[in-house]
Amino acid sequence: MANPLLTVSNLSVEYPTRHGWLRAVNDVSLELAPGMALGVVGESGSGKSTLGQALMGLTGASQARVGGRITFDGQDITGLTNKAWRRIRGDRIAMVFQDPTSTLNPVLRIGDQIAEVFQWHRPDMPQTEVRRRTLGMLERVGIREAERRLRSYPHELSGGMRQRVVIACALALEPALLIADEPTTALDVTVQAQILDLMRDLIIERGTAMILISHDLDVIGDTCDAVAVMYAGRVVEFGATDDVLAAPQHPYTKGLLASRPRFGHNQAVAPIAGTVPDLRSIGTACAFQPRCAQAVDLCGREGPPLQGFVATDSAKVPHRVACHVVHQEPRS
Amino acid sequence: MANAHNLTPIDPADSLSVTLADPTAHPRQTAAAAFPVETAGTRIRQALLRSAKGMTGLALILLVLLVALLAPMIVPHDPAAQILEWRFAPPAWAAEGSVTNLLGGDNLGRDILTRVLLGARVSIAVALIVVSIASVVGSLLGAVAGYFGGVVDAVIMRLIDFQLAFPFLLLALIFMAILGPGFSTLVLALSFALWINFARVVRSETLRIRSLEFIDAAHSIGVSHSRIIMSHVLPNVLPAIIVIATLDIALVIIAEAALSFLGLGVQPPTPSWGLMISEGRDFLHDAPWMVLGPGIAVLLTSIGINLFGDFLRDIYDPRLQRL
Amino acid sequence: MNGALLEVDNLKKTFVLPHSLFEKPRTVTAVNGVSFTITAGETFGLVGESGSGKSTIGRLIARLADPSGGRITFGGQDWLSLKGKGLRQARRQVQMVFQSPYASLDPRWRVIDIVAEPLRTHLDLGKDELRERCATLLDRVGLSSNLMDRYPHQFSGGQKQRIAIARAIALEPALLIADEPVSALDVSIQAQVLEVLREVRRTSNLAMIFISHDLSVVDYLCERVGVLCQGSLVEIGPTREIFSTPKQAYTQSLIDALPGRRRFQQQI
Ligand SMILES: Nc1ncnc2c1ncn2[C@@H]1O[C@H](COP(=O)(O)OP(=O)(O)OP(=O)(O)O)[C@@H](O)[C@H]1O
Ligand SMILES: Nc1ncnc2c1ncn2[C@@H]1O[C@H](COP(=O)(O)OP(=O)(O)OP(=O)(O)O)[C@@H](O)[C@H]1O
Ligand SMILES: [Mg+2]
Ligand SMILES: [Mg+2]
Repeated sequence: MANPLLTVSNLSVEYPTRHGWLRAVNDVSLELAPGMALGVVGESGSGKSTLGQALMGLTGASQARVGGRITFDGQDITGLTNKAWRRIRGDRIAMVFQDPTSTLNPVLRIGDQIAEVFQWHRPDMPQTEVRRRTLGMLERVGIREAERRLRSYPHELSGGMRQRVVIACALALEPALLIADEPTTALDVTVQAQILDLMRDLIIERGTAMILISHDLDVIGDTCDAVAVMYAGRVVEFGATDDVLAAPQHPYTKGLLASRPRFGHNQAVAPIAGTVPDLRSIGTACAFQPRCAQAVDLCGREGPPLQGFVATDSAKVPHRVACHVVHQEPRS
Repeated sequence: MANAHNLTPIDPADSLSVTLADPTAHPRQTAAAAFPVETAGTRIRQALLRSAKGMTGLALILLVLLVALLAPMIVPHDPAAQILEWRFAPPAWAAEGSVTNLLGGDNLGRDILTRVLLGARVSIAVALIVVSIASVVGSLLGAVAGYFGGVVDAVIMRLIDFQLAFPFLLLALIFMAILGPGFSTLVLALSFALWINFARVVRSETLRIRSLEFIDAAHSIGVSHSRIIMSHVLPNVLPAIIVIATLDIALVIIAEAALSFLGLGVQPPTPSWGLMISEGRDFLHDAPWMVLGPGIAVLLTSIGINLFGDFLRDIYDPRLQRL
Repeated sequence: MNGALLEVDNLKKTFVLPHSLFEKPRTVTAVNGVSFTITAGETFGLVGESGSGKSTIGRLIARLADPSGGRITFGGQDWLSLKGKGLRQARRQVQMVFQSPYASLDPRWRVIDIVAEPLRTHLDLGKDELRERCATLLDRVGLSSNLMDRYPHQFSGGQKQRIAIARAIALEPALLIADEPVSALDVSIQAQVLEVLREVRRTSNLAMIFISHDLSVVDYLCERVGVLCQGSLVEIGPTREIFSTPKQAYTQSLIDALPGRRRFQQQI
């Protein structure tokens, strides 16, 4: 990539637990071009949220140990102080969480919550301008009668409307990167579709890059250009969404796709056997090996590196996979 | 992170997920046989041995109980004997102190150590009986109010409001007027004052628990209301009850003092810690040791009970067990 | 097919919202004249957007709430006239699986006690027999009976949901109401629970009402489906028919909202 917006190299995040360090994110490297939408998918506990938090400098609260480097917009943001982070957060990098109820302040009118974003990061902006932009933002996220709604409290809105307000707050300052952690998991399918459409439109229109975290590959398929599949803290497959969905390589990605019923196809679903391993007991072996039907001897001995497996033309997102079996098999 | 599918913050890695059975693999392949069946008894014993908190608390409680039991045999002097030379005798560590009265003597020339040791009997007995009565009555009424809501709730809440509006001492006086002063009046008056603490907390906890789906599940199985309250609601409120009980035991010991002081409770010369503290208050400046002895006794007892209460609360929360 | 197991006729439920003494009470009509029938052994899906009244219908049939109007006939019996002890005994016929695997199991109970609760309530079994029955039940939902003495928090979401299913089928009910049993689970875990439900249905003559806002899951599991919109059934019929040629725009909008759906359409 010519000029990546975000470069993550060998990122690892470890939480202190009473039985020693728990490595929730393990040697993750990623690159994100400006305006690109990347999906991060994986089962519960695979480290998706931890990755998102590390990118937002939010791991300090849980005394996590962070290794590796994160470069954002040419600046190394790995060791920033809290104060420096507060200036970047909400301005250059914004975040949307799963639960809009806990993100919004219940005692503040929603107009004031959006205005607060401007007042905090742009203290010089005149009041009338703040109001004009706040109104514009609410209208843009599809809230009707925005003028009147400015005065509503969060509990007076439905879950979907609240999530729209959260998105308005996040995108108010036109950040370069939006990190959305399961933004629609708490919503029903209809509202989910509306919110995903809205996010997609907004980031395209503003050239915002996005990292969308979800446990549902279909959601990512609808929204993102590229996808990173995470398992036990590692990225096990990475590629353009179309490539990965059309021709998944890693047995885990295949399992994820097969475990979801397809609408209109009456084919049986196939759950992935087993459960996510204990993150502290993963040795050098491939973490998926105990659940993998294709595992060979080598899988139990050493972890596979994340490698490209076919020569792709340089313009495209390379398709990489971390699996011994895929790399050993000569592909037809 | 608040996740809809992650309401209880369990940590899959910290819980026993390695040894959890493989969910799709057939049951027979699972290797969980290594988990022996544990009874509640062995579980508590093992946890106790590992918990400094629990051990310290238990040791203190046992010490106090032992003292209360053996007091008549181990006291150095006659508790009622008033010896002129012992009046305001300073404790052993003070400049003019002597080993005869280790904790000093009181205004009437009685040995304080003797009275502290014997006072344990009354104080502990009152505290245990009162808290037992108040917690059982209060928790049941609170649970019933929270569970059924509506009229039942309104009646019980009004009862609580009514009682809160009444000064405690007035209530105690009424009890005394009806029943005459003495141990049982004391116990009744204190229990009557304390049940509302339990009722209020248990009611609000019950409101929360009642809205959880496992209550609906029990209901749809056909379990009766009384059983749901006894086996689902109350066990889940237990930690709150334990916390209040441990706080209230110390409270009772102090309140007993006030009542005994007013002549509504234990009658002098029977020693009780509360009575001793009240008597010593007048001489706080000249003979601070008069409250020191019983004061330390109250303190140690409440620390012991609080530590052990804390430990019990952890034990009763299966989510906190990391055995 | 055998006759109707459950007949729901013009069912209504109105909630009165909390209001102060001086306000006029405000009401919400959650269910507004819903009628359908279910035959023994049939799997019926109820779909609709959030707030359309799906859960309320489930709770009314399970007698966890009382309707404001309408009739329910279950197994030829007037289901709404049952009261007190009679109702408690009849409840074994209709069991429920709830949405949240975390809230639907008492955290202080061991798995064996959870699964045994219905057996203890309705049958008089010895200790050994109880354990044996529980082991069989856990086996049916694909859990090892070695896990009986554990507490719910030691299980994953999918495993908990299977424990809830074991509890619900313990008394061999004629009707199982599953209210969004997989909505709170990861996609990969959903499949495990769906398979268990399919297996349970295959091995017993159990009718099921499967409530979900996710049409692919309903499509996968249900023979017939009813589409709810603001408390009313706007469409009802065989799943295949309704989903391939929906007559209502509302149904079509539910289908279009499925993730992965738009992608699929683009490719064609
Ligand atoms: N503050 C913390 N302290 C200790 N361990 C933590 C902490 N936060 C997360 N973990 C652990 O790190 C691992 C990864 O957690 P993370 O929340 O990143 O997963 P996730 O992929 O977002 O899962 P989900 O889909 O459930 O949100 C898990 O094993 C989790 O238990
Ligand atoms: N106990 C209650 N008190 C007041 N209103 C209620 C109550 N329960 C449900 N409602 C209202 O009834 C309507 C239908 O709710 P219901 O829970 O049945 O919907 P649902 O289809 O299950 O939605 P979801 O997909 O969100 O679970 C909603 O408008 C809801 O706000
Ligand atoms: Mg997460
Ligand atoms: Mg519902």
